[in-house]
Amino acid sequence: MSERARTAMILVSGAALLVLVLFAVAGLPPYGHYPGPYGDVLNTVAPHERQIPNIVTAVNFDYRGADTLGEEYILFAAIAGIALVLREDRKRTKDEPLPPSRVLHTTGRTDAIRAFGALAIAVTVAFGGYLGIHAAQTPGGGFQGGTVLSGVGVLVFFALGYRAFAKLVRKEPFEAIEAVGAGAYAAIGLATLVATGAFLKNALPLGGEGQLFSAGTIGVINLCVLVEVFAGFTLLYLEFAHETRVEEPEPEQR
Amino acid sequence: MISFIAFAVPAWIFVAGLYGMATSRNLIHLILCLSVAQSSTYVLILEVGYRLGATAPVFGDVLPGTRAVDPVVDALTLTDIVVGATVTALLLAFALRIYKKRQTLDPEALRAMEG
Repeated sequence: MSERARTAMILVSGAALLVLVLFAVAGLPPYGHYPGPYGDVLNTVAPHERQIPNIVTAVNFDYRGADTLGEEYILFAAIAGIALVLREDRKRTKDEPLPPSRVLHTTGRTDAIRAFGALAIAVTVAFGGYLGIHAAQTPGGGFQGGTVLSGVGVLVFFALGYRAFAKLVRKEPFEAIEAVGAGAYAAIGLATLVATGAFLKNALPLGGEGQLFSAGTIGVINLCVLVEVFAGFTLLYLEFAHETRVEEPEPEQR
Repeated sequence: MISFIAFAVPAWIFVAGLYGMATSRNLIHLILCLSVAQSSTYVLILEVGYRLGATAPVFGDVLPGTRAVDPVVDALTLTDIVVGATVTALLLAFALRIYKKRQTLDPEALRAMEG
């Protein structure tokens, strides 16, 4: 297709889209006046029914827990896909994962960068952990906490270099950890199905609202997601970090 | 009027991303444009669940029963941002692979299929 034909096609379909969007927006409730009732029912019922102040977490890991299970497996599949696509090329390099040869980003980091890196890692661990375990009480949870915690790997990579990162994060244990996190979520679903007859029914004791260990299965599922997201993102960074390696040029023949 | 402007924002973000994708001459640029278009959905559904003067649906500091926004759209957005990031990373991995194989990221130069 020529460039001109393509531009024309985009303009025509864009105009058609505009009409549809305007039509759809005209049918929406006015901005700032959410009509409910589903969200309102949850906001009213969940704090009492599940002993949980954070309704977003209650939706994610309980009321719509099956959806989140699906979302988690998209994440799992995407990371497996990245490993599949990037590792294919590296089959030919013999020196995986730690090349004996010259490597980009390993040449000396200054003390200032390493000191700041250590500080940033400490802050990231504390904040990620706090965010990850307080899913029920404050805005936080496994998805956010896991993402923040995985930043530790990136900080190690930047502050200490590829070698330190590849030494710290071995792909085998992290793959196992990720799989356990993803599998445990599904296992909880099956266990509740067997025990209560309903998939992901909140069957554990609820505890008191606002306590660290409360809200029944929500806390356990949150932990699975935390582990899965943390390990998954760390693997993702590892795969891309491997790509920064440069191979030693062949010694020149005399 | 305010309603129209509010909903025009996600439409604008979506169209800007779409335009970038259609005219892109670089796969990485194209993938980022896709992320932009995708993020318009977050703005849209958060706006649908928004309520003027309402608080977040976390009843830790405020009493249950306080006017709050829809928690369902918040939950959807939250999971999708994380999942969307990994899918973007997958696309970038494809771009990397293509570059290694063909030494180019220009979609125009990648027309012919290759086994």
